Amino acid sequence: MSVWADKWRAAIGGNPRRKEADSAGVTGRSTPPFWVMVQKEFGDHIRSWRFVILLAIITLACVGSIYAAITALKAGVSSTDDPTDTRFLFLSMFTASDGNLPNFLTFLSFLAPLIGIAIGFDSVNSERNKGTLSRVLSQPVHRDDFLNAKFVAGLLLIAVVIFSLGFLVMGMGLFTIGYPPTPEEFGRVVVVLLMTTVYVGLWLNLSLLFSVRFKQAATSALSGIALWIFFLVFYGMILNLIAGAITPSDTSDASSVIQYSNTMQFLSRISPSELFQEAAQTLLLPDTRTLNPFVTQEQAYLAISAPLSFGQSLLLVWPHIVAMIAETAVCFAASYVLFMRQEVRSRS
Amino acid sequence: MKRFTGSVRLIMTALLCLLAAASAAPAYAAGGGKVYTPYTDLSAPPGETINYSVDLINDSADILTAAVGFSAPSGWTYELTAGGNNIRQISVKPNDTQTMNLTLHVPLEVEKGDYSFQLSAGAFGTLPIKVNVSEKGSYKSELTVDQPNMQGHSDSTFTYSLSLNNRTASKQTYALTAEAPSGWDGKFTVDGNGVTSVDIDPGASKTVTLNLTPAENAKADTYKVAVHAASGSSTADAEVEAVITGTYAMTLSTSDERLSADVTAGHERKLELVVKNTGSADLTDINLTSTPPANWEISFEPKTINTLKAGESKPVTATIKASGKALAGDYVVGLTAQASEKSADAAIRMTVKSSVLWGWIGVLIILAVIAGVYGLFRKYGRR
Repeated sequence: MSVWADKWRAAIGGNPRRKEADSAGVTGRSTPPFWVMVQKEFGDHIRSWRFVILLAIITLACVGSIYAAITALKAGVSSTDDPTDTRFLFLSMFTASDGNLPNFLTFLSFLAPLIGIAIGFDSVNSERNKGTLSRVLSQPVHRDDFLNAKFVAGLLLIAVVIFSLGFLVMGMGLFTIGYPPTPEEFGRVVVVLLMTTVYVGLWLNLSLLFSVRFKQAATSALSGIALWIFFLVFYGMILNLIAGAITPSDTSDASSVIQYSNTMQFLSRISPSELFQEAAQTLLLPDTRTLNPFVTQEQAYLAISAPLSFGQSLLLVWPHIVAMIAETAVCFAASYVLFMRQEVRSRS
Repeated sequence: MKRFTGSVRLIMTALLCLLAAASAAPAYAAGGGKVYTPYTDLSAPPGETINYSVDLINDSADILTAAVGFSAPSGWTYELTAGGNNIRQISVKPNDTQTMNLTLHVPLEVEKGDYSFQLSAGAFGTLPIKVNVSEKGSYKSELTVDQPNMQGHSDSTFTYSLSLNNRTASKQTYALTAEAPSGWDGKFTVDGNGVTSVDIDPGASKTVTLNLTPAENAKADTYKVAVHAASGSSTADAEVEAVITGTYAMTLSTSDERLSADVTAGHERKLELVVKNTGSADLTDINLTSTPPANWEISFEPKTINTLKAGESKPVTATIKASGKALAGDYVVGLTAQASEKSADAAIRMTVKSSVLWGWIGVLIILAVIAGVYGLFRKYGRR
């Protein structure tokens, strides 16, 4: 509680400005300095070319995937086993594809990390190199407010981008299929968008950590992108290698096959993109009843093929969400400790 | 011993025949011609056809030619044939024999008794023939039932075996009808095939089976069903009785008629079931059984109901324990109440919910992480 009280006191006490040029009258006198910093950061990002280019790429990709989804829907690929089944037709906007382009979800899990990396990679070290860090911290603000503001502003921006893309897809879906979403479908989409925000927040925090750790912005950008490429491209290959090495022979019994598949699943879930994709797909395809690739005969006996309720789907992927939130928080904590322990000197 | 008796009887018959032939058959004619047939006094039922083989013997040195004729009372018909054709005149070479056939139809409508006929063959003389009609002819169709009265429940099928006799002179096509009460279903079968009409040759009979299915809600009573077999020229009627003692009907449902419930995987759920006797007869020994998904446990309290009076219902508690490994989502659980007379099913759609324990553990992990970050804030944040 005392933290927020401090902030209020600081807000009333002074009116700090990080950059003189941006001191437009957007903020009132009573705004706490933390939120002023958040607003400044947010504005900086929105006005930067970097962000515009990124947004353009991602929007293009999304529009492409929407087109693919619409083509697929028009061709009648609502459900493979029962084409007349129109339940959750709206959700197929996010998961359907005509095969020419990946679906929206795949695009998002591929490209969304870029937003996080691009926003975060130079947030601390560039300010340090330009010397603005010491100037900001010379103002009557808490030292951690700087890093927190970076994080909050980045996350807000990501949320805005993700939600606008998501609602863009929903709007296009409404427009093309003329079929309004049920409250449950809407809920599922909103939760997936929230999850995407957390997922991109994880990448933001990673690059924030790199930007605190590495003095050069280029190094931190490269390490962020390296990690991104590693998880999206190489990790799958490494997994294939491991799978080839530990695949049980054809004659081995069921338990060793199940154990093998459990091991592979565990390894693949180390990758945050796999975690995100699995969770998002489960939420957007309500027919998914289990994440386990093996369903025993006992479990399937007398089971009816029926979609899960929203709550049950959420419960199924709740561990994934917890893992992503925890990973994000751990990354943030690491960069926080690192930043707070660093010396801040004015550049001579 | 038996064979010996049989052969004795055969020899006796042969001797008698010879005697008969020697005494009665040869009828001498003027010009050396004879007419002969072995069996001149026969016994036959109405509708029967008798065939005589008549030999015409010419002992003279000339060819003998004679007109053949037969005197029959009204109703009796006959045919004289030789070489496949009807004949009226016959010639026999000297010292030769010709055979002709006399076919005599005993009429259906005839009194019991002896009838005499004369076969006249001109120069060969005449041959007297006697026919003893063994029974009184009827000349109508007959429909008889072996067991006209049957008893059963409303859900049983009554099967009557009817015998339809055509005692008319011609082949008949009978249309079969059963005047069943409304809601009842009467079906005729002949040789296993469903029929509505049946063809019967004159003098023949067929077994017709009537399957009577009572109306679903038939009250306990005695029902009379008239059965008709009608052809263009004759009809035959019979009446069968179906005695219904009571109806068996039972329903199995939940107390609130809802056939869906949810259960957490690995946990129990109690369902209030109601077994109701909706019939008009008592049900006995009702067993409650289930077809659960694998590794589910279902128990009933009580497990059996000894008797359930008509119109009464009894509550049963089913305890359904889902398998701990059950997938989230829907399963079908079949419940059956099986009485010795009737059974009732209820398919319950069980929605399995995964345990929320791990959900709360996840929340705890998030809270712990937030607490950790807050601890960092406290430690480093405000120096």
